Amino acid sequence: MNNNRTLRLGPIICALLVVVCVFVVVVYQREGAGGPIHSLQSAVAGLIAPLQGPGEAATSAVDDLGEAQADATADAETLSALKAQNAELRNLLAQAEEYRLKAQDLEALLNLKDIYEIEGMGAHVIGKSTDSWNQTITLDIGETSGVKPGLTVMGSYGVVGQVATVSDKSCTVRLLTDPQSGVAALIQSNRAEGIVRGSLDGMLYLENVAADVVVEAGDVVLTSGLGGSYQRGLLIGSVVKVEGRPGDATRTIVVSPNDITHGYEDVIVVFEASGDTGSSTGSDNSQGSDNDSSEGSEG
Amino acid sequence: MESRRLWAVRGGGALVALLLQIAVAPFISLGLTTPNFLVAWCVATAMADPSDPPYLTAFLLGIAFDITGGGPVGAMAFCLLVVTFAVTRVYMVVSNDTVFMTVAFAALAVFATELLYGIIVAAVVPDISVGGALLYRSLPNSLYNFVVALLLYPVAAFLHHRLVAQSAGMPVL
Repeated sequence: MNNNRTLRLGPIICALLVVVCVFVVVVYQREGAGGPIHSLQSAVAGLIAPLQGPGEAATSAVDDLGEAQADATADAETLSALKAQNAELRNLLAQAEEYRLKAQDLEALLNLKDIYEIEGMGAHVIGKSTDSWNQTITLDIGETSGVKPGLTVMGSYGVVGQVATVSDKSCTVRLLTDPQSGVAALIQSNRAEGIVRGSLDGMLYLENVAADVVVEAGDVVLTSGLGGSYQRGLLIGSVVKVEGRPGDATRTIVVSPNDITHGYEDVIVVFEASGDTGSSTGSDNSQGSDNDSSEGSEG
Repeated sequence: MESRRLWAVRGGGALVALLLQIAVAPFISLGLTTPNFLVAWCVATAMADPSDPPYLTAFLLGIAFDITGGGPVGAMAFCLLVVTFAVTRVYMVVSNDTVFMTVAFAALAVFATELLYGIIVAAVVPDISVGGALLYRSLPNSLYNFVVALLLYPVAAFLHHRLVAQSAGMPVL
């Protein structure tokens, strides 16, 4: 009896919930980035970010466990007091290395801030996207610190993305590698303009470059500031591969983002920047400098 | 509707899956593929008791995924509802208590969910093509989720079996 009732009611409830889902999707699509559902999403991103701390710790714990297991399976006699002392020293060394890397990171950020004459605010990455469909990170500063959607975010070696949504004390940054990202760019050596887009395969592609422009691996790519969504003259990365020849309509230009292998811990949210350079930013691919400085448009 | 005990099992499992999704999934991603514990749990519970499909659990898990992630809110809830409905209906008819059938249905269910989600994302996000979404996200995600679903299914089946045995007053082995 009860089972029959469930079987009868189930599809009705399912149908109602499906209608609710479709309604929510439509509302989500029609409201802007400042709409209530987007705001809720952004607020939740800030709230759940601290929960990712233990996950990160667990990951390193698993790594340590693997190491410990390898040690445990070694011959017991070889595990002398000296080895214990060695482990302790290694621990200290790892800690010191961590501090060194952190200092190096912060130094690079400060250096970058000077190079581009950036007016911005440093932020700590407190979370990353929980699904594989979005390439985003969450920062620990938000509306109360003056962050607005659309502001450029830079890592130690160049642009990493753009603020997508903001809540009071946190904001979500859509990374350049996200397929929904696109930035107006120019090639530093020949000033050819195009658009750098993220993609589902995780690569950055430079598109819409005039067919007759010669592009070579190693060419530095900067933001052009066109459209006003990104500040002008900030380093994006360098060309790593060009498939096809000049004049070829289907030419594919792959750009390597400078910060992709670095991981993000600390970044700068750029309020304003000037200086069209791209040189001396710590990237080996940066060539020369170009002082065609221009005022960047506000995010 | 789902009884109170069943609710507790499904809700508790869903909460754990949500916590795993937030705190663990980003750190065990392989390349660009992040596992989806919510999809895996939903599929596992649907297959553990197809006679009482977990529609509300599917809806709540989908909404939770959409809100904690950055995708269109309502999309994953829609996919999980549709897949839960279809899988439980077909599974009830064709299930013959063999491991093969369980494994095949788990694979089919996670793939259908990811495929449907990919199509919706491609439809609402202009820069994403259906082919790209399928190739670079749906397929690898399905593989990862399939493995997670296979790990979670025995848990869901055991809890359900225990629940049935308890309500029937049978001793639980």
